[in-house]
Amino acid sequence: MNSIRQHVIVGAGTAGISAVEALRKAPSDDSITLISAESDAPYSPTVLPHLLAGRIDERQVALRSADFFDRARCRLMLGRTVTGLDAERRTVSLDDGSRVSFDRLLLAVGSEPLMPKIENPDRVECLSFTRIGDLRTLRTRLKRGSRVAILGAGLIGMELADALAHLPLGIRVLVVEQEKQVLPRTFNETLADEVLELFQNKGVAFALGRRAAALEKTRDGIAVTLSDASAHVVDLVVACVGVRPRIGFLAGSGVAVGRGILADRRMATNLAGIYAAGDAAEGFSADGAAGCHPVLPTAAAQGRVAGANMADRPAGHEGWLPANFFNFFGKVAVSVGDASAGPERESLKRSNGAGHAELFFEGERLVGANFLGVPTDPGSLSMLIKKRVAVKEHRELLLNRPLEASRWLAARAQRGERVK
Amino acid sequence: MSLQTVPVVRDTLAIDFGACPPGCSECVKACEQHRSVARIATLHLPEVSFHGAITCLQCSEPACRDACPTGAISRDDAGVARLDRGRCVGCGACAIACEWGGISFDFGTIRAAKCDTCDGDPACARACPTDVLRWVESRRLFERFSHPDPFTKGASLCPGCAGELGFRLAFRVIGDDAVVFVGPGCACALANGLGAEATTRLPSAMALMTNIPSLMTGVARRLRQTGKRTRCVAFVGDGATADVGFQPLSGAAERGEPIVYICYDNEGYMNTGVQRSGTTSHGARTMTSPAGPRLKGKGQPAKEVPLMMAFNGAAYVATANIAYPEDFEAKLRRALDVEDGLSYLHLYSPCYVGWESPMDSVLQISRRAVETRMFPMWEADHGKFRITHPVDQARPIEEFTSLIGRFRHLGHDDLKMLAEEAQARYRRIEALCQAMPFNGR
Amino acid sequence: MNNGAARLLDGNKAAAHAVLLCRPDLVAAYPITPQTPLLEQLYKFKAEGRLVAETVEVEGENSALSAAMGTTVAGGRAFTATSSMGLTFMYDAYLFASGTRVPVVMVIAMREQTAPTTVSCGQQDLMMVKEGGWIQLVCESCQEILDSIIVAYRLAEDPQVQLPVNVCYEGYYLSHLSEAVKVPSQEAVDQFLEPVRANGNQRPVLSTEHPMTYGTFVVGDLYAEYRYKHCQAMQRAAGLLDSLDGAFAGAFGRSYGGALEPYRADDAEFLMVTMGTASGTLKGVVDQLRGEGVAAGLVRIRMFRPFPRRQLAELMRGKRAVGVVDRSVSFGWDAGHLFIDVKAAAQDLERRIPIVSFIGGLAGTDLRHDLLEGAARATLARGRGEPGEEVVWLGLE
Ligand SMILES: Cc1cc2nc3c(=O)[nH]c(=O)nc-3n(C[C@H](O)[C@H](O)[C@H](O)COP(=O)(O)OP(=O)(O)OC[C@H]3O[C@@H](n4cnc5c(N)ncnc54)[C@H](O)[C@@H]3O)c2cc1C
Repeated sequence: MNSIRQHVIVGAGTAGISAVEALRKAPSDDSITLISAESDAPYSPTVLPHLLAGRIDERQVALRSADFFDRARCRLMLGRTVTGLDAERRTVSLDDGSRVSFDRLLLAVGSEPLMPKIENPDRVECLSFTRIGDLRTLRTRLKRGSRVAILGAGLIGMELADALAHLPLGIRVLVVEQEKQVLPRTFNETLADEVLELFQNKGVAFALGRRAAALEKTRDGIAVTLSDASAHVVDLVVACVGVRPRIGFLAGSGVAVGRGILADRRMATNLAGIYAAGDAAEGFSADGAAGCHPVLPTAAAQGRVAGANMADRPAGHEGWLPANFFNFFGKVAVSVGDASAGPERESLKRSNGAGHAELFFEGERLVGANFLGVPTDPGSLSMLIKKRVAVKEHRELLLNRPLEASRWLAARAQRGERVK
Repeated sequence: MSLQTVPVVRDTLAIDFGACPPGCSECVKACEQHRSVARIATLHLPEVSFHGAITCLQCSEPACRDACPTGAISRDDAGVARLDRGRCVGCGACAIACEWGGISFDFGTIRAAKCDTCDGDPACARACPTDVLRWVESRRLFERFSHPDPFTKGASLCPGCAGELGFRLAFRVIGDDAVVFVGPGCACALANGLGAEATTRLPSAMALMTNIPSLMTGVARRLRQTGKRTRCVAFVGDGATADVGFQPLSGAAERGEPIVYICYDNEGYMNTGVQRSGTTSHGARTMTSPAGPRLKGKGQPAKEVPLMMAFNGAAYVATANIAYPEDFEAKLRRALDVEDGLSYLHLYSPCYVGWESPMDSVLQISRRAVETRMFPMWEADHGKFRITHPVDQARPIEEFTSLIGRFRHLGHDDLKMLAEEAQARYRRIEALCQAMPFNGR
Repeated sequence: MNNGAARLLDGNKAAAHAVLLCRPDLVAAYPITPQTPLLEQLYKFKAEGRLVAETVEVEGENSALSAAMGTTVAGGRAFTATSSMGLTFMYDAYLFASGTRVPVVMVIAMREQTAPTTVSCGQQDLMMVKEGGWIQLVCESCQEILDSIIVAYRLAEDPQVQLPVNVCYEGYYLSHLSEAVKVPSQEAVDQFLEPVRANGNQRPVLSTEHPMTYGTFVVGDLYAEYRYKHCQAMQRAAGLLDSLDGAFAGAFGRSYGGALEPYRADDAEFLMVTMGTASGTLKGVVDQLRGEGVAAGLVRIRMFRPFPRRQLAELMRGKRAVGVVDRSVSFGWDAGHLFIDVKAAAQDLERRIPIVSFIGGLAGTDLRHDLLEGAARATLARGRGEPGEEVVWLGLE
């Protein structure tokens, strides 16, 4: 138990850094090496829209200070891409041909953008928006009055649209989405419509229920032809149709992959001593369903669990629960759990000019909630859903005073004891 | 910043959750005044007669910090998680990650805010008109344990041992007018010296596995005879208590010997290398209750020694847990007060080595044992029972077992059985409390 | 001289009177035949207000000795008693008491050891603990029981000794049969055996004033030192018993000869050796043979541990043969236990002589005069060069 181990973490995002914290929770002489393909100080792509909108600048987004890595005795290898893994010899190979040996390895390489299936005979440049490099490219391309087509009204697309709408450059944004609503699978139609209205009020145009079918170069820009044959001419196209785990470099390594790197609740892969966490991993939901869940809290929790296990402190990931938090033009939109109608489900709604709240119950327990413009506590709500706490008795309270009631109910359940 | 330097016991903002006067929000006002955005909230829910205050608990592994995409939250050397609001982009990841209601998200500015204890002088606590909010300095906490530690520093058990912590704390309450008794086991490393070197300034005796309460009987009777009030206190493991040494303990309790007997229960013969004892949990694997294709760890539930003692003539019986030191202190004081019979304290003391758990896990395990109802906290004072730490809603058993490697081989059904046994245990105590209620001393 | 008023007492009662006179601070014992009447007599004394000691109704013998040890290490004087399986049940505490040098006194009302189960007399229980590091005195009469207990506390508590002492006597033969016993006055006993003072008579004591660690954990050389000192103390005890015998004679007019009692041994042609009540009958045999002109002699071992091997060798020197009568068996030696010790002591003699083991009186059967006479004659015959068995079971068909 006391031999010194070499821990290697590939990926310096949220999952990787959380693993470092967990590894260093207890004193040990184990070494830690953190490798990132990017040469920037470790950061999270979540900040991209905020950087673009100017809410924060690049010097303020380092996940940890340089001092942190010194104190954690964590060797940083920036700008080095891991290209392969030799599980038998326990090494990873880097793009410069060198190898790094490990006793325990964490794969926290995050995700990569999906590209839409689209006719593009002219090989028109289709940007993405998942890495800081993408942001820098986008910035150089953006001019006053640029016309931008965003393909996809999911989380990233809407964040990007919001950021562009905030820029004082008179940028004209068109969001193309094949579903009939924005933020499908995140918000139900009612709330999605509210969100849509917020964007439209800020001049963002939407083409819903339509796919981008083709891109062509024209004289005054790029023509985006939609599935209904309408054409829209823009200057830039950004694909935001989703992300997928970055697993390409693992081909032939023996690490089992599905959609992502398959990991159990301990975030262990099929190979001993090799772990996966964050966007790259295919873990488990709170309901026990296997799947990927590319958001920060999940990356953080999985990284923490992986790090603890690597340090021989047994830990298990309790499973993720969908939860989203948006700030659209000063209005907060929150969704937790599965906020969709269903046969066995009851829902409870409250709506007025200022805000909307909708709760979904299955039996005694809450299964999902949507809020717009209503203060709430998504963490407490997540807890109530994940831990399957029976709360229906207090549903009115939860609907009318979601912030206080969710905290009270969660605290009661958390403490497992009588609250006066 | 975190990383090894944070002291284990910190000053803390203590909240008596749910004890606020209805309508009072002085803390919130004070916080707003001092910090512009309130980092504490009050939950006034007259519909359910609940009035409480809530703020950050300063977790040791803050989920908010790990989720923050801009590195705006960090944990400092005092163990306080701070948010640099200038770097907050309002993404809400912290508010999703925190399941304790600890992030005070400001829905006006759409930026997070969180308590940083006002650097140890929280305005809210100063403003609180009641005792609900208190700034508790760890120094004060230790004042309950006011006597100097009688054991030498070098003499110690494994780092992070719950038993050692309990032993040292116990004698910081008991003080110097005591003779300490141990048996051959882990605790003797602390009390019984090595060769010619003493490890405690107290008179101490290492007896046998089989005769500790009897030896104490002889000493205690003699001390009384000579008019001394010196207390005889045993700190003995579960093997010598529940198994080979139970007979003399039972005898001493029945005879009403005025001795204080603390059993530190690490659920096994740990000093001999982890074998099963009578108090080893059902299903736990040990060297003599291994897990394999034909065995699933210990095949029987643990003996309930405190209950046995309560029905064996002990004047005062209590279960205690090192994760609840104030409770332990109060019970120990009561035990020392009792002079008309034997006092028995059963101290839950996970052994991370034998339980295959991380070195720093014993307090968390201890707490989870209570919260999952695995280890009910109760006392029986002269035949009157009460639960000292009610657990209305048991946490899932997995939250306990997942911390402990020696349960790792158990499947879903086994865990279910463990959970059911725990519930039954708890309900049994509840029933006793109802049948023989405690109406003060 | 106050040699006490004579009363008719059995051995257990004589022991109880002795305990009373020694003013113990605590009595703890668990009932077992044939020791029980001793215990009952002490509680009777307590009920009458004559015994002021704490009494502990322990749940077993291990606790009995442990409680007695507890009071003793806390500076008091304690008494306990047992027999047979009770003795072996307390074996771990028994070893702990001697190893930690606790001067406690314990009676063993000797009995056979199970199995087969019997409650009858034998010396087998004592033999089970002979290597336990205690001083062991074996009595021949009820008077000797009373006297030995008083002497035992002096011996145990002496700063040069600091060891636990067993006073042993045979079940039924002594425990339950009455003799005239002289019970000395309390004043006389107090003069001979100083009552315990609050400071524990200057012994190291478990107290907050002078904290000490009792029963410490020891490794390596220090362990050997403990053992060495224990052995030294045992040897000092042997010498001390002889001088205490003199002092006791001075105070009470009775003497038992110290570690052993020779009877017509000096000019004997051959010797019989035994412990306990068989010596009474053997004295008769010796007298009878002497009447026939045969120079028979007897040595009664009083102090079984430490074993008076040098004194015994001295007495055996020049004899033609030695017969040892044992009320016990050593399974591995196929002989009596005392025989083994006598044989080992004889190793110090210049000339080899025949030594015969006689085993008899097991489970309370009578070691009759005729049996012991036969034993003596067989020993004599061996001494005169006739062939014979080395081990003879007396009365076994
Ligand atoms: C625009 C945008 C907005 C988002 N907004 C939110 C939000 O508001 N809330 C939310 O919860 N989530 C949001 N997310 C998702 C969130 O950022 C991710 O889930 C999270 O960052 C995943 O963390 P990770 O550690 O798994 O991967 P990442 O943080 O992506 O880190 C991956 C790391 O791996 C490195 N890497 C990749 N491949 C290699 C290789 N071969 N060799 C070496 N290093 C490699 C990268 O350089 C990087 O350091 C957003 C994502 C984007 C793109």
